[in-house]
Amino acid sequence: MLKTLSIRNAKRQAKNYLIYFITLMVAASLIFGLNSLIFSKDIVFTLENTKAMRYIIGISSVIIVLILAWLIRYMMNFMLKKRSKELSIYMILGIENRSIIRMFLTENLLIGGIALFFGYLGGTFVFYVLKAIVMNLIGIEYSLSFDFSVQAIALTALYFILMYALSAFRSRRTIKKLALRDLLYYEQQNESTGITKNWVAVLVFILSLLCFAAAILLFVKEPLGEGMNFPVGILFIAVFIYCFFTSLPRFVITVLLAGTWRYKGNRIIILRNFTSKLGSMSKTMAFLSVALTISLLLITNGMIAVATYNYRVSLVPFDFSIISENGIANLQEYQNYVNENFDVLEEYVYSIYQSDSSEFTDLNFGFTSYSYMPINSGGFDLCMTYRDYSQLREILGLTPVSLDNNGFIIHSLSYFYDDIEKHSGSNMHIELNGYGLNLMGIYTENFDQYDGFSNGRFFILVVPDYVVSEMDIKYIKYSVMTDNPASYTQYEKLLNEFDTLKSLRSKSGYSNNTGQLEYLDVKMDIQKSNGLLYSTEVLPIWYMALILCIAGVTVLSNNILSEETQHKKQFSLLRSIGYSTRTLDIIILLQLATLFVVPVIPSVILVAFLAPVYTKSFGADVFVPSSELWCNILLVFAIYLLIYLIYYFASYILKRKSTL
Amino acid sequence: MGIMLDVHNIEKYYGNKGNITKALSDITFQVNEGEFISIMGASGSGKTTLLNCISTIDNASAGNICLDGVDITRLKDEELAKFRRENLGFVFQDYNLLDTLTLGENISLSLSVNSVPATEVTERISNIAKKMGIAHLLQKFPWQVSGGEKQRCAFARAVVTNPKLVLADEPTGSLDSVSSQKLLEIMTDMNKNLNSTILLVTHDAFSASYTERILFLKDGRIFNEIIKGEKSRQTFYHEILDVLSLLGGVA
Repeated sequence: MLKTLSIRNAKRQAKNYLIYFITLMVAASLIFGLNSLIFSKDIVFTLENTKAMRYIIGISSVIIVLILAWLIRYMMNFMLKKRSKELSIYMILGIENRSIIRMFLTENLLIGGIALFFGYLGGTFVFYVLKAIVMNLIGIEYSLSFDFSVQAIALTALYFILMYALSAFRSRRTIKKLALRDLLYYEQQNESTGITKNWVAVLVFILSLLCFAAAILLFVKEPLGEGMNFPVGILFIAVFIYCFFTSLPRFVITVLLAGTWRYKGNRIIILRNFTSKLGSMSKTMAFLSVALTISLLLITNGMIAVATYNYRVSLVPFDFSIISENGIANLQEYQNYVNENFDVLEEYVYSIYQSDSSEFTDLNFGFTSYSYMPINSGGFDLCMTYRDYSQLREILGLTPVSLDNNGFIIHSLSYFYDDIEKHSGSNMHIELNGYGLNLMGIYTENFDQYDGFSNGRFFILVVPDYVVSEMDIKYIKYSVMTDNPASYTQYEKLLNEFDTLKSLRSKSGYSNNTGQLEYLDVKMDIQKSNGLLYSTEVLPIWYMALILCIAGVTVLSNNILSEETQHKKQFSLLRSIGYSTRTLDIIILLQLATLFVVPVIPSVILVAFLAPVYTKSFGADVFVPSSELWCNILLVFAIYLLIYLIYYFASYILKRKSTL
Repeated sequence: MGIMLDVHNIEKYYGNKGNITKALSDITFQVNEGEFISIMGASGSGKTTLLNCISTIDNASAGNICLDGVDITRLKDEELAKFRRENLGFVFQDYNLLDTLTLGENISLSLSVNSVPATEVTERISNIAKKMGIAHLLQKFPWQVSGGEKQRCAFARAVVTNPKLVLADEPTGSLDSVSSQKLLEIMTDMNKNLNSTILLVTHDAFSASYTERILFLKDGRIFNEIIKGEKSRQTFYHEILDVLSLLGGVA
C-alpha cells in the first residue's frame, strides 16, 4: 500500500515541483556533460593540460555536490512541510516512523533517479557541445564521433548518491525527531516574521543601507586584498544582508503602506502579498541574495578572464614571428621556406634595441605595479628606429606619423596613455646614449607590446635611426602576416624543418624563453592557450555559478508557488468582487516581479561596484579598455537576467495556471 | 461493562523555564467500554490538548492514561505506532483524508496497515460504507464529494478496524446542520449497535447532546460533569446550555 502511495505521490510531486525537477535535470546534465568531457578520449589525447582541468573540475564538482545537497535538503524539508498533514495521517493510522521515512526518501530518490536519467540524456548533448567548443578553442579539428565513458556515468551517479546521502541523512533525522503533534501543525510553522515594531524596522533598514554603503566604500577605497578592508567589508555585508531582509517587510508596511498612496491601483494587494511572503521567508531571501551575489561574481570573474584572454590575441597584429637574440643566422632560409609554404601577405625584419639607461622605465607609470606581469627593468629602455616603426605602421594599416631628428615617440598600451601624457605634458625630454630627445607623440594602437620578445614590454621608444647606432640589439624579429590563416600543421612542419627553431609558446600563452637562439612565436598559440585557460579556469567557474544561480532561483520559485490553495481562494475572492482576469494576471506578474527582484538588487549593486575593483586587482584593465570590460560586465548581467527571466516566466505560467 | 479509559491526574505544561503555561491540571476521569462521552469547553480550555494526550499525539507532563489496562504514558515511541493502529480510531474537524486516494482507498488504509487480508478488505469497506451512506461514492476522490460525505468517510476509516476507542475532535465543526445531524446519528448508531467507545471533543451543545455524558473543561480543569441518563435529547440539550451559561458561554 505504502509503495503504491509512494509512487502516486512521487508522480504528483513531479507536477508540483516541476521547476525543482527541471533544475535537478539541468544540474545532472551539466555534471554529466563535464564529467564526460574530462573522461573524453579525444580530449585526453589532445589537451596537454587535462590534469589541471580534471583537478579544477573535480574541485568544482565537490562544491556543486554541496550546493545541490543543500538544494535537495531544502526541497525535502519544503516537501515535508507541505505534506506534513499527509504524513501525520500515516502516523495516526499507526504506520511506523521508519516506514514513513523510507517512503519519503524513496519518493525523493525516485525524483532524483528520473532527473539523473534525463540528466544523462541531456548531459550527452551538453558533452558534445562542450567538446566541440573546447576542441575548437584549442584549435583541433572536430568531427562528430562516438565518445562514451563509463567512468563519467559512474562518477555522475556517485555525485548524485553523495548529494542524496547528505540530504537524506539530515531529513531522516528531522522526520525521526518530529513528534506527531509537530507534524500535525508543521504546515502552520513559518520562519520568524522578523521585526514587528515600525520604528525599529525603519532604524534597522537605515542601518542596513549604511552598512552596505560602508562595505562598498571599503571595497572601492583600497586595492582588494590589502589591509583589513576586505574582511571588514564582508562583515558589513553580512550585517547589511541580515538587517535588510529582516527589516524590509515592516519598512514597506511603515513607509509605503502608510499613506493614501497605497490606495491607487492594485498597490495594496501587491505590497501586502510582498510583505507577507517576505516576512515569512526573510532568511531564505537573505541566503538567496548571498548565493546570487557569489554566482554573479563568479560569472563576472569568468567574463573578465575571457575579455582579457581575447584581448591578448588582438594585441598581436602579426600571424607569426621568428625571433632571435643573436642575429637570425638562418634568416634567408626561413624567409625562403615561409614564402614557399605560407600564403604571405606582408613580411618585415626589424630590430629591437636596448638603450644604455632605463630613464623612461624608471619614471614608473605603473608598469611594474603588477607583480605577476613583471617588466624587465634590467637597466635599459627598449627602442626601435623610426624607419622600422613607420614601415610597421604602414604594414599594419595605421596612419603615418612624423618624427624630427631631435624627437622621440612613445608607443604604449592604451592603459598608460593618461599617465604618460599627464607626466610628460608637452615637453618631455630624455637622454638616450648621449642624445637629447623631446617627446613628439604618444600612440596606443595594438602593436604587440604585452609579452617578452614583443615590440617593447608595455611600451617602446621610437627614435631617429641615428640614435640606435651605438645601441645593442636586444633581439631581431622577422614578422609575417598571412593572407589566409595558416594551420597548426604548417607551423609544425616549419618547426620540424629547422632544428634551430623552437616554439616560443609551446606550453602557454606567455612567452617561454627556453634558452634557444631562435624562436617561432605564433599568434594562434595564444588562442590555443586561451582555449586551455577557458577549459581549465572559466568553464568550471561558470559551471559553479550556473548551478548556484539555478539552485537559488529554484528555492525562490518553489517558495512563491507553494501557497497554491491560499492564493486560489484569494484570487477567487478578488474575482467575485469585480476584478477582471486581466487585472488579476497583472497582479500575479507584479507580485512575482517584486519577489524576484528583491534578492537580486543587493547582488547587482555589489557586483557593479566590485567588478571594476576586481578587474583592477586582476590587472585586466592594463590590457583591456574599460569600455570593453564594462561591455563584458553588462553581458554578465544580461546572461543573468536571461536565466532569471526563464525562471520568472516559468513561475508565472505555473502560478497563473494554478490560481486563475 | 469494564473501564476502557482511565485518565488519572493528568497535567500538561507548555513552554520553557521562564514561561510555563499550564494547559491541563489534575484531570481525572474514566470512560466505560461502549460509552459515548463528550468533552466540552471554551476555546483554550484544554479540550484538544486532553484529546491529544489520550490519543498519543502529545505526551502528558504528569499522570497516567490507561486504555484497556495499558498505560500509554509508559509506551516507548516505537510502540506507539503499533498501539495506535490496533486500538485507536481518529476523526478530525478538517477530515484529514488523502487527496490522492479515492474514498474507498482512504478507508482501506486503516485495514492495510493492520494487515487485514486483501480478500477481506473490499467486503469490510463495502459494509462500513453502507452504514455510513457513502457506498456509491467509494470511487470518488475527496475533492469530488461534500464536506459531510468526507467526514463520514473519515469516520468509516476510524471505525472500520473496530478500535477500542474512537477519538473525534470537533467532527461537526466544518459541517452544515443537516450533515452534522446525519454524522451524529451514525455515531450514535455505531455506539449502540457495535458497542464502540467514542470520545467526542466539541464546543457545540447540539453535538454534545447526542452523547451520554459530558465533561466540561475550564482553564485546564474539569469544571462540571453531566449525565444524560433517561432524559430526552432535547432536555439534555437545555441542561448543557445551562452549564455553558455558568461557564461564561462558549467562544
